Amino acid sequence: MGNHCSVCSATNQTCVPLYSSNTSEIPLGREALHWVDPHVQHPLQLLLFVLGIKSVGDRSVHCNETTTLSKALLEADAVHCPVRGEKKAYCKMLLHAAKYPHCAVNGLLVAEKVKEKKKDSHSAPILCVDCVPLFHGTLALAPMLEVALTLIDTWCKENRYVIAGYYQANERTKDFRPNQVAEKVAARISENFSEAAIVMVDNSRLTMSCFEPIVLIYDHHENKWKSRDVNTDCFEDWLEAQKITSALLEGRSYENLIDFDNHLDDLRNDWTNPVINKSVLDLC
Amino acid sequence: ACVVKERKMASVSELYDVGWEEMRDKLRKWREDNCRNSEQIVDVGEELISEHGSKLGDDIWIIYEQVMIAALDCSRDDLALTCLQELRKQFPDSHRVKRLSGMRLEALERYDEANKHYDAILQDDPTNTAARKRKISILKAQGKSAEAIRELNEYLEQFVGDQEAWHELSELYINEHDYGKAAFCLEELMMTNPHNHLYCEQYAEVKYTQGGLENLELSRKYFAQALRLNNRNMRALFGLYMSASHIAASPKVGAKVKKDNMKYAAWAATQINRAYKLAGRGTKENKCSVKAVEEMLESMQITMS
Repeated sequence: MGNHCSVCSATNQTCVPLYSSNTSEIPLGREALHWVDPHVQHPLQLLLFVLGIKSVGDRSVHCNETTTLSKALLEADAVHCPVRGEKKAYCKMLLHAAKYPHCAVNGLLVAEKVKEKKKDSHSAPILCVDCVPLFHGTLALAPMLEVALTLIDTWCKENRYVIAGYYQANERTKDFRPNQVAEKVAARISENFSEAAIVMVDNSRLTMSCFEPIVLIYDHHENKWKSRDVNTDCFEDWLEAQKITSALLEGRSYENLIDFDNHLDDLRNDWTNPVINKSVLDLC
Repeated sequence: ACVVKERKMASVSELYDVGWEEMRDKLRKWREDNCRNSEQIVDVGEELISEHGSKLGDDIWIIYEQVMIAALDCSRDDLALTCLQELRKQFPDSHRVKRLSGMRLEALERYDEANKHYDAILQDDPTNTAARKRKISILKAQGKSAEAIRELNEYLEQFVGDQEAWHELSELYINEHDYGKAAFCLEELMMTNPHNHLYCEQYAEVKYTQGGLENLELSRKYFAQALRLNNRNMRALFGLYMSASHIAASPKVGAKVKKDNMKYAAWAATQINRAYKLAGRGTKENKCSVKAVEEMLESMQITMS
């Protein structure tokens, strides 16, 4: 074009200011989606703006060619989530519950295998980086649960994960207490991971937006499962987890969620959920 | 305002390039198969009713009923009420419509009022099975499992051929961990549906969960039976493998039983491997599943002697 960009003085490039602290200058978000410099930093802030949330700072982007936001981010490897996967675990758990609103659902939570054991690690909450949705409907039968635990355990070993917890959403909306199934599975998990936790989904608070964490976490103390206080500090990056979960719920991504039951119905269904994982990454 | 939310949703007919007849036929298929894909039913049904209602003829009433129930599942009380009101206008004294009113009250958790609706129907027509079953559903929703089980048992004494009820009872028993009684319900279902591989397979799972050598052997037999009825039932295949392996590993069995069960387990293992290879088709994502299965089979240490 031969012009000089008024913001950064680069030539022959179109510069589109993406957001500014001066709100009167905010350009239309939808157009911004189509113009992304592959080297843009802080893609999260980009998306925050586009979704209409106030952000701070001025930033402009050089546009070379039309592309879509997520493609560019992936190609440039610019997706820079400081915490990996925490969002994945929380998202997939809720998507599983949302996919089968009339059933009980359960699944396993996995954590990264930590080589060095911290001395005071017993007080730190577990960081679950991923989850594997297991079953929906009848949860109290043994054979398929055994198969699932064994297969998933092998997969964990390949990926340096360890099964660290178990989640369950009960059939009835107001019922969030762990039952015998939950305790039995958690006991089995505890054999390999002493700090195994039970995470119960509070169905009554499951909404599209989920502004607060809607899970209850139970730890094993003195032969009983006791719930601990859950607040946003229990998550590495709550705001992001909430936004991504909300976006996926609204986009009905749960229709694509695969649990172990789906896998048994058709072996081609992949219970590691690469499609959902990619969607989470896209939204980071 | 959120830019993404303001985008107009494409209509079902645009998205999938279908005409109203296909939408109507889809709804009918979902009715016949008793599918609970409520969000889809609401999407398709709502559009069909509002844009092509006049073309549906008498079908519209059963579609109103189907969409209404799906709307309750999706918390779309607005849509449910619209459908209900149309049905009430057309069939003012119908018990079937009254039952739908009751279901709406259930969805709104107004259980006492719902019960009154059902009691009124039963007073008029004591043989109305739908109303009785809704009352049992209310007990279930309220967490009163013991009462639900009792009522369902009484119901089945009268209506012994109601398969849906037998299945519901088996699930209630399973949730209470009363596997013996759950097995009994499934036996009833297997007797009346000898070709249904799903009942066989579920019965086997219940027996396996019950535990003990006898039940394991029974479970293996029924997993095998389920496979005979449908050789693609993966649960039956895994179940056969697991039960045969456990029997072979049990210290209480003699040498012949051990050997036989190892053969069954090995056979099942090869079939499982084959099924995974077939499904995997060499794609990256499924390779870990195949490997995972191989290791699982190894870890159970079953070898042909």
